[in-house]
Amino acid sequence: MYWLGINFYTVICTVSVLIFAAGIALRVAVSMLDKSNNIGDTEGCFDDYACSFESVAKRYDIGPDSARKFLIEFGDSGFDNDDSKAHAALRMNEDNDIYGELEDVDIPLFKPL
Amino acid sequence: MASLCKNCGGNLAFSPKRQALFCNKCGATFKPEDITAEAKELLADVEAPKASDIYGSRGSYDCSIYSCTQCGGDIVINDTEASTICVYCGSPAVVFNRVAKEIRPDGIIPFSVTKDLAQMLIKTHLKKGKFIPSEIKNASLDDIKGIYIPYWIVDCDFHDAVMVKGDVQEGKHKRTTYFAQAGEWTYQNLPCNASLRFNDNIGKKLEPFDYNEARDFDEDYLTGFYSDITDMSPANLRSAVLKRGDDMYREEVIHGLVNATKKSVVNSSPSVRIKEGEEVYLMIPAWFYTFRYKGMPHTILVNGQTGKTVGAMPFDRAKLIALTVAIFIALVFAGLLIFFGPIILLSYLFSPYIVSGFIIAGLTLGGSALRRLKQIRSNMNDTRSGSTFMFAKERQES
Repeated sequence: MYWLGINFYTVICTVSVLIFAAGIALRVAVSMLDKSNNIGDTEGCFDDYACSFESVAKRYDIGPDSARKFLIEFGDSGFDNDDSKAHAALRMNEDNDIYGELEDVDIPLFKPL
Repeated sequence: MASLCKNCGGNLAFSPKRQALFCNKCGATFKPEDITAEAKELLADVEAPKASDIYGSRGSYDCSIYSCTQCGGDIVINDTEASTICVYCGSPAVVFNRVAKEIRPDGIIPFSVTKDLAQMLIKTHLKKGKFIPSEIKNASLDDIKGIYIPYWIVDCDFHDAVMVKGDVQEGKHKRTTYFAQAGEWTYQNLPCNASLRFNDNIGKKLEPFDYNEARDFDEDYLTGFYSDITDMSPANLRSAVLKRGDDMYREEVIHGLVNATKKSVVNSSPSVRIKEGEEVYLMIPAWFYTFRYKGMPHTILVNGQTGKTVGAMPFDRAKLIALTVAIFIALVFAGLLIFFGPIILLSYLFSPYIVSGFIIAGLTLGGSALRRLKQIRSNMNDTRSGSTFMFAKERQES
């Protein structure tokens, strides 16, 4: 197929390579910018502070309604409420749960004398 | 308003290099714990007048006026400052009754990074930055301030449930689906910025801190530096811990979902119980360098204990575009040389699948680059935060 005397397929092939080259060029340039200008872009994460994991419930590949029901069932335990349903549900949950202990955080808490 | 030298009566200031109080007049050094209460000029019985009482209500803001005990000059201190420097004679000034009587910190991590080292660290980072404008690189860095930031270190029980949306691959198609995860755990030594004036996002980037080096609080550690006391209520603290704990768990859940793309948290339901009586009120050291570039405020921070430098710098857009175009031309030129004309080769060798692959790969690379650029610009918003700028700037300058 020809357009203005040029093979149309050749044009598509050339454009695809140029797009690829442009993607690489932009990625390399932004990586260099990140290293150059974005200083100290790290912060404390979950593993740095979390320990004594009591119980976990997980659900994979579910519909939005099931996810919302999960949130209602297992969310907002309200620690001050001894009758918290969410707290109890999490402890009684048996499906898809993985019980485990996280290692204690290896930073001693500063305790004033 | 500062501890006095036993030998000559001069003002003592804490020296990060010596890790002791240092007298500029006679060169003597003292440990803070060696300074007795009698040697401190306590202002327990002195109540400073409000600025509006002296200067009238025109343009007033919440602050008090103290008199420098060295030169008699006015020292203006706002409602949360605990220490500052006299603008007239440069003497350190500590509002002893504010930290002794109002809310006394439990501990302090003293500055171990000196002012010279902080300036050198900032200069090193600026010099290495290829895209940092030269007027920022060549700045003098004189306007750098050491400030103690109030922090709460808490232990808490945390409960959270998170709902995540993502795309999963099913053959040739992608399908949107949901994931949910809930759990209970304890956060230990969770640091929370205790100043409503200081930006949380940039504070998080100063971490980690080594609490092993924390010491029992003594007002003398504040001398020579600026500091604030906490202005957070227990309700503010609970909200801050809740948000911090929830944000970290959301990241953890997202990170754990490896078989999905375009993941985002739809909703979460956290709750927290802070272990009462175990909260530690700690003063954390940081160096602040503030400047303006094209009218926008910017702040670079240096962790005063570890030297970690934080700050997303403005970049020269023209340089970025020029570099991108240069790399693009170099790649195309290399393609021309290696393949003796990609146009000829492409027509005979490239099947439609390879062509599609190039287009998808190019768009994916370009898309991830643009997302990263968006993240860099978002980080710049924290560095350009007006509140962080004013947190450092609105202090007496010697």
